Amino acid sequence: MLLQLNKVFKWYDSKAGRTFILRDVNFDVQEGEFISIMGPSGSGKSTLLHILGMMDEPSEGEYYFIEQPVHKIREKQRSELYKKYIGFVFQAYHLIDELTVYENIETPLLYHGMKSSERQSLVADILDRFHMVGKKDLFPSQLSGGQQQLVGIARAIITKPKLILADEPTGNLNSKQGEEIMDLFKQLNQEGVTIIQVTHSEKNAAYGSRIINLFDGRIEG
Amino acid sequence: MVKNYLKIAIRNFWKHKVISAVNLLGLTLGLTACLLITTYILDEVSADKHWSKKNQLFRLVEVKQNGTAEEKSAFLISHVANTLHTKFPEVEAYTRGNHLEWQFKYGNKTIPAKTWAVESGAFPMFDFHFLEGGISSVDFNNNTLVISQKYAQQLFGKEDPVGKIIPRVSNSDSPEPFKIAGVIENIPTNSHLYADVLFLKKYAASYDELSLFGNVYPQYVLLNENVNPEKLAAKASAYLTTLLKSETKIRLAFQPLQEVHLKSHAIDNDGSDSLGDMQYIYLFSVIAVFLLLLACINYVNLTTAQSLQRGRETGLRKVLGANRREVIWQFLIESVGFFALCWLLSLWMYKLTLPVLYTFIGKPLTINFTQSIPLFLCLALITFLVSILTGIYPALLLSSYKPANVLKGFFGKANDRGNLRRVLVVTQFFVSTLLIVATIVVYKQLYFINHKNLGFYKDNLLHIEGWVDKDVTAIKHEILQNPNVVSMTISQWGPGDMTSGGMSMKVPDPLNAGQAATVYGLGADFDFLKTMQIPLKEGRDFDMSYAADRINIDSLMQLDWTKYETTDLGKSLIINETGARKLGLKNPIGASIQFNGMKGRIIGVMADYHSTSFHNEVPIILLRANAHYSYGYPLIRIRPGKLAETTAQIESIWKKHFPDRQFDYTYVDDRLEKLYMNEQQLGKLFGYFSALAIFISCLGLIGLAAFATERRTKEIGIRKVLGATVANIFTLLSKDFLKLILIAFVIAIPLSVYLMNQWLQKFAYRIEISWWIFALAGVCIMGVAILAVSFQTIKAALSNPVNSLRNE
Repeated sequence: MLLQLNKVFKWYDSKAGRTFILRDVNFDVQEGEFISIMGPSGSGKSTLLHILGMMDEPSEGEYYFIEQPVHKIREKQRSELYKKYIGFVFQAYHLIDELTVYENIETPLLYHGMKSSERQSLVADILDRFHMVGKKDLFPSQLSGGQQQLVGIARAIITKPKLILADEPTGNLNSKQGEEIMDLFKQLNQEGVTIIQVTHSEKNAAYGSRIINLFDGRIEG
Repeated sequence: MVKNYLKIAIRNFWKHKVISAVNLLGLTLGLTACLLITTYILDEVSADKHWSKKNQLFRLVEVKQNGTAEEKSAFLISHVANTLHTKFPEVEAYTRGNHLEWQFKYGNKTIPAKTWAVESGAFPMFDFHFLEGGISSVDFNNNTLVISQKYAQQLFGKEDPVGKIIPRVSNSDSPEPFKIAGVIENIPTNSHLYADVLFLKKYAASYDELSLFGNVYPQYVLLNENVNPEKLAAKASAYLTTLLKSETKIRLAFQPLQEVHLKSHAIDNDGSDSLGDMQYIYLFSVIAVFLLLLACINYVNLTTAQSLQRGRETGLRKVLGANRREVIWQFLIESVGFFALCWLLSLWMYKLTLPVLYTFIGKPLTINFTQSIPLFLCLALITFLVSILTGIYPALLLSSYKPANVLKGFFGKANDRGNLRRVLVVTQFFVSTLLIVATIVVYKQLYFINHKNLGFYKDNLLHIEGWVDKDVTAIKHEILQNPNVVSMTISQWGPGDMTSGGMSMKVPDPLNAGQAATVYGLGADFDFLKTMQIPLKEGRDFDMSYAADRINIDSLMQLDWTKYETTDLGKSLIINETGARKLGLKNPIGASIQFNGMKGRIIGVMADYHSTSFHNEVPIILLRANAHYSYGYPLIRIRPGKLAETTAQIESIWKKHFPDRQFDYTYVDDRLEKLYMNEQQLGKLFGYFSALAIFISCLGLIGLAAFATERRTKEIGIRKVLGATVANIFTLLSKDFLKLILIAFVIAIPLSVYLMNQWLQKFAYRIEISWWIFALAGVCIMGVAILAVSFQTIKAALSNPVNSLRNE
């Protein structure tokens, strides 16, 4: 089992009282799955994804990731865990504007303490695979949305994570670009990477092996 | 990794050109100013620290009790140092003698030389390294000189000066010949003992007998190691009191040589203008720190102003696997890199501006950051530390953002240390206000000084420098032939001189029992009042037709001491108003008055005039006149508008009589301005500093305004959609800043009143600090601040709300 959520709650306190974002969420993910999380706006999809990605903490409940109790371990161990096994893809791509395509893809490797020569060969491989060798010295603003998202995915997978978390990865793309990206995810999944995506689109959700429906912070059905 | 950091830093730098330039400029200017001030301070505090025996060298100071006040003087009767040397084995060596403004001639060049009269004891005391030649005991009292390398080059060029005989030229008949025995390394310019020429002197044995009368000299001693100077001073004082059979106790003190330059403001140094003042050193240190602080505050404000955009990058880096420590490192490296860049730029600017500083303070400095490796390294280290200290806050702030929040475009309130930024801005404008108020007060005081009635008319008055030691009656007649010369006098007093003329003496103060009043005697010829245009209040001026006016005391003095001391000559004297009042003379005309044994009769009361700067009160002055006065400074009143041509004509007459001497002259109004050189420099410096401080602070304000408008883009958009006008938005955004500046201003007022009143105490005649000074300072600061803020706010106010709301 890759990860498990047990009775996870997430809430915010404000003057108006307690607002629940997630209520009693329970689910398991096996390695190699391709899961789509669906639900209307404000249903807690992104929060759930952030909790899975260890960028946010549940207010209550347990989260196990490859047998490790994420809710208990220290920040440092958590970030090691996260750094090693998880990659993130965003709706708005979130590339660093001041870095080139090459440098953007290289950045996670820097934080993995990899040697320069190793970094070079890894980045070169991935650029080759995504047919972006000619664009390596361009800045994000010089690319189309689809190309930017390709860079975003390249950056996410360059550290060979077990799990990719994608927050509406095609939300800002036209349908053709979206299709290409989804095909790429499928291909990655077939290579053994676990993928969890948040999406609004039934069509994109269909790429996955399982769909989780969220409504008002609860898993439905 | 570092390469990646630097790359992104440089690209960010280029992307935000305006903010980067503003930041760079602020920090570079701040650092440069700091470097220049520090150079000056180091030069001042290192004065006289280069002598190898510095810890054993002392200057003799006599402390006189006058009522409750102590009067200290560095001028002692000539026989003290040698008497101490004979009596106390603790005194290893001594030297006595003045610094003199002499001129020497070689070939057709006459060059002024600061000449220090030294005795043989000076050579074991001070390290004078001979480069050429050398001296032996026969050279003392044999018109022998040792000259500095610099002076040797000036006067002799490449020729070997050793053994050459050169004349000393003065305003007297016969030039004295002097032999050059050697060339020594230059004495550092920051030493109060600085001299171009050492004049080797030996006093005759009879001269060394101790008595209360005679010449006074500055005197220096070398004490054995481990001698307690206080204890020795007590012993020496007691010994001198008994030896001289003095009625009052003589009190002697040993002032450490190293302290003379900066800690002599309470000691009469006879107006030595080369001395510094510890107060100004403290002041400048504080200003240097302030300027650096302002520049660093700017860096913090301008860096955190970009936090919206840099925070996103931080969040992303964390998503990509960076931990907080790595992000902190990134920003620290950025800050160190930025400081390094500014540091290099400021070193370059420093190099460029050093000569300006030299011109400004009137001498080259002995210390230079780019020429001393230890200083340079020290500077690099300090800059590095400052860059870390400055970078740490932005690094902590920017690294604190949670990735999830950042990527959602949401900045938690917990991270917003807006309060600290506000405190920083208040600090900046607090400092700026202090400096502005100081500038205005200094300038107002200077204006007051320059426009206050001096009691004599200072314009169109030519002052020939160099004491005349010859009867110049013939020359005077020749000069008076010139139709543009109104009148001419020879006077012991030159306007602006510390002493008000010749000798002074203490008399019991008739108005304050137990205290003494100092009376200054001033000798001049008959045309003194006329030439100086000092009005008479009572009685009459000197007149050749009165026999009592014509008595020549100086010739009597040379004939018979005893007669001079005891006879009532009935010599005519003129007293000033202050004198008449302070000596309690109800009917001064005809009053008999004693001065240094000489008795005379007052024939007139002249109006008070300021003999020296407004730091000092008007003293009691007794004027006596000789028909053919021959010792003193020529002062010539010239018709307005004819100054330059008449000066040239006078010069040609003067040259005819003193062919070898440089014709050295000043106009009295210029000469008086020099009295306030310190204050004028201070005024200018405050002007520069406050301009710089405001400039840097406003740069910071621009950054902060940028930050605020960036954060409030959405709010501004909504307000505009709801109908807010450009003026509404402008007020909304500017209000916050003006509030901060107002707070800073209000806090700064009491402190600046206190500080400036302290400074004004240096003047016997001073201005009041009136309310309009603060009004002016306030208007200045507010005006500039509004201008600075408006760049950002107007832009934000004019922006189309559709653009700002689209992102949401």
